[in-house]
Amino acid sequence: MAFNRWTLSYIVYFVLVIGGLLLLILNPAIPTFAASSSLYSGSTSHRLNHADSLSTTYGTATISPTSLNGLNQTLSITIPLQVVITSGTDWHMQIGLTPLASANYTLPTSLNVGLTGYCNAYNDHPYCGWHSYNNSCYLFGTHFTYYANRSINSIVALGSTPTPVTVYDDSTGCTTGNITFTTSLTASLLARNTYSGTYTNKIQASVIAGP
Amino acid sequence: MLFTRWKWSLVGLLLSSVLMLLLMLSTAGPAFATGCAEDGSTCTYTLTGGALAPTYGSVTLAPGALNGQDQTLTITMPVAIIDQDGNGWNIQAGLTPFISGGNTLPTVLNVSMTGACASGSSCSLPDGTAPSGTSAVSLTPGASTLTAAGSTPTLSVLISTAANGSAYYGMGSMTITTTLTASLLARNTYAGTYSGKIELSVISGP
Repeated sequence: MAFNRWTLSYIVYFVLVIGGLLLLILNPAIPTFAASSSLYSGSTSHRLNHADSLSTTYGTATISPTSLNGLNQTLSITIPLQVVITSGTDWHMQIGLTPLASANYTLPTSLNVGLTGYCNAYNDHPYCGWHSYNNSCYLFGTHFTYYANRSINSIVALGSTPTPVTVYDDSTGCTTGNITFTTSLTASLLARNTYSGTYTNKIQASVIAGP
Repeated sequence: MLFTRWKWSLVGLLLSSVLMLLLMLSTAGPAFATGCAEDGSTCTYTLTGGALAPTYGSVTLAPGALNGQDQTLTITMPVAIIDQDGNGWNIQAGLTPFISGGNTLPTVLNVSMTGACASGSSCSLPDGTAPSGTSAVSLTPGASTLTAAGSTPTLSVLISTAANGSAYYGMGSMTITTTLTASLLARNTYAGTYSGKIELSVISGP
């Protein structure tokens, strides 16, 4: 009798844990980048080779810090973007932004550019590939973050609408797999000229098929 | 024993059920919970903090001993200030005479001030100076002397932040040190315990 109770208890416990994990994975509120985005920006030079495909899911840009403390800090704008791509598809990624401005103040407009790729799990691809150092094409295993070769070292926020510039170019069709590219824009926030307040701007990321 | 195990098992099951319910009812994902769309729409970014925050240090008085020589009475009043709201601030100070029985120390004191940015803060001092590192630089006080009078300190403005466009200097994290000095002549400075009141305030606004 006691054995049956214990067995039943473990079975129920196991089902609950597995069920919880499944719910976590399937929960639509958690961004899994599973679906293609309607924000996909195709250009007139859109060109896909027979079986090749390219889909894009735009993430949410985050900006930090959120609080001032009297010390110098680093403004960091993180722009994630996921592509699911088979090799041979030429494409490039562009980023543009306008200045972060409040009624009286503007945060630094010249920002350094950093770019990484993260290889997501993907059934059809045991690995991902992208341009890394020296623009060479490297293969990376899943759940791996590594430097991606950026096209520019800095970007300037200007105007009232974003002017996109290419930050990653895959004209050789190197990139393959399910990859989250994260563009990091950074600038120093000197304590003496960084004011608390509410700032607004516009950020635009685009993945464009074609060279 | 078996009953206790069974009880703990039930507790575990209940906890698991609660966790599952929380997961099922969750509507917000843990990643990128706040932020901006990447589609060129307007993004709002709020930088909080930075309101004027003074931290008053300890006032020190010197010398502590007489030696037959003329000396200098030195009252040192440091205050650490953090401000990043651009609204400006000013420092006010006052004191009452230091008295011991029938003896009173000099009541007119010279004022000098210095400012230094905190480590890691490229600050601007109230006059707009942006010193490198943490080195202290001289500031020009608005009043060259303070007179100790009355039974409660009467505050005088010693320094105010200068305008910087639509905002004011005095941004970042810094220490402003106010020093009051007066000559202690050997012939009329007596040993004893003196008491007085010193007040220093950092007030928002230029």
